[in-house]
Amino acid sequence: MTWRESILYELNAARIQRLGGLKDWMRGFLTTSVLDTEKAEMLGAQAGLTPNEVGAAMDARMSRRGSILFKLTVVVFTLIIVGAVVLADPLGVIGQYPATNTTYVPGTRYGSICPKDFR
Amino acid sequence: MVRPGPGCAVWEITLKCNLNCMHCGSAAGKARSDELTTDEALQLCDDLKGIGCQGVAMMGGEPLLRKDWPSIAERVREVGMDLSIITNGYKITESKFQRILDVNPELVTVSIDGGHAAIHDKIRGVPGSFKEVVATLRRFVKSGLPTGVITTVHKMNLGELTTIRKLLLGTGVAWQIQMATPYGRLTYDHVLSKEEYYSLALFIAATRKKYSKKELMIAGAHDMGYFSRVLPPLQVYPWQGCQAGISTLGIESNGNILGCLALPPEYVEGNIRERPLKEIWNDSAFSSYTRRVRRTDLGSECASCTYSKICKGGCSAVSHSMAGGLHRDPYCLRLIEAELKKSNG
Repeated sequence: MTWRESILYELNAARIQRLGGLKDWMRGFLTTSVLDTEKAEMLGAQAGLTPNEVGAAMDARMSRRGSILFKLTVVVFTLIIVGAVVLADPLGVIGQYPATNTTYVPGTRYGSICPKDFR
Repeated sequence: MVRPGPGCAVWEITLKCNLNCMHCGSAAGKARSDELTTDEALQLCDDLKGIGCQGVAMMGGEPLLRKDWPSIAERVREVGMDLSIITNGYKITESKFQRILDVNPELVTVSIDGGHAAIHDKIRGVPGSFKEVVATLRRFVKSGLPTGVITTVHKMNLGELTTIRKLLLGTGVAWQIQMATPYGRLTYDHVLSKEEYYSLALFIAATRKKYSKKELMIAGAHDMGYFSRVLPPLQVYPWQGCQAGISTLGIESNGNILGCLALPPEYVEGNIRERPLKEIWNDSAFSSYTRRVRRTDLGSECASCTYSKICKGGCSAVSHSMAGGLHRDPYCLRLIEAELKKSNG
């Protein structure tokens, strides 16, 4: 996984999502355009979306404030990742295939999604 | 080896149903001839607690058609597990409604598959079902119970999403959107194409962007992913690979056990009448397809993906039905984006 991919994955974490709009412009910075506007609008129209709504879903403009925040976040994540690698290596964790065993309860992902999941 | 228990057991307490949905993955209608007795069901509640299960999502068929559902629900609560009830919202009498309030589940969910009666009723196979489910939804919301709505999307209702959205705006419900897979009654010709699936993803992303959580909480289910280069995450939490037999467990109404209820019968790995649940769950062979995934198990496109270690090839149920094997889910946003880019030259 590249550093860009690592950061994107971290961005998916629920805690980070609470930072609201932060993740969206980061995503735009980190990703390359793979869908042209016309095609995206056509796909959105199939689900009843207006071109504006499609644009909003894929919006990736970055402000000056956003740029500074982004750079700060990259530094923090880099430190976290480097720290994790330094700690995990002696424990022999690196190189193992992850056996994820997160515990979910009803209303969190499986079964069905609950209002409390969005808080 | 004793494993941590599942966070959620999705339990079909009966296959009996009063609707006839075209997309029903278990082709529900008549009860199975060998459904668990009340005593067996109550014992199963204890056994689930015994393996460390944290919660039960009670579904069917239509779970509220099973006469002893309140006893099962109460036992789930008594032993200290969370409870959610997934109902079609049809023919919920006042007494049933009161029983639901008495049981006080962590979540009650109804299914809405169209924004208009004509579409919902056609999909659900019973005229008048739309009117009833909307009324049921309003009663649940008014009662203050945490309420969810599930919409299962296929070719017939992809165009209905904006109308359903209008219906749900401002109600405080959590809206779960999932793709219909060709099991049970759903035929392949109704399954979304990959581009339509991408349209659905765009809809979820656009709605999350357009509306605050106060206005509408919306998320894609486990089969709405993964790791798009363009769109933000659609699920509530990041995808960590299929959780069948890891943090979720499927139980059929006759006591059959499988890693996930969305999987077809060939994935049944035991029955609680023949073997204790604890033994099945802790068996090292149980759900080995998700518990021990190797890179060589993945389809070629998934194996070469940078997210392969985390994703492990997407949803097992979609992968099995649409690609003929596990760990190669073709309904992957990242993969579709690559294909679209390629086709655009």
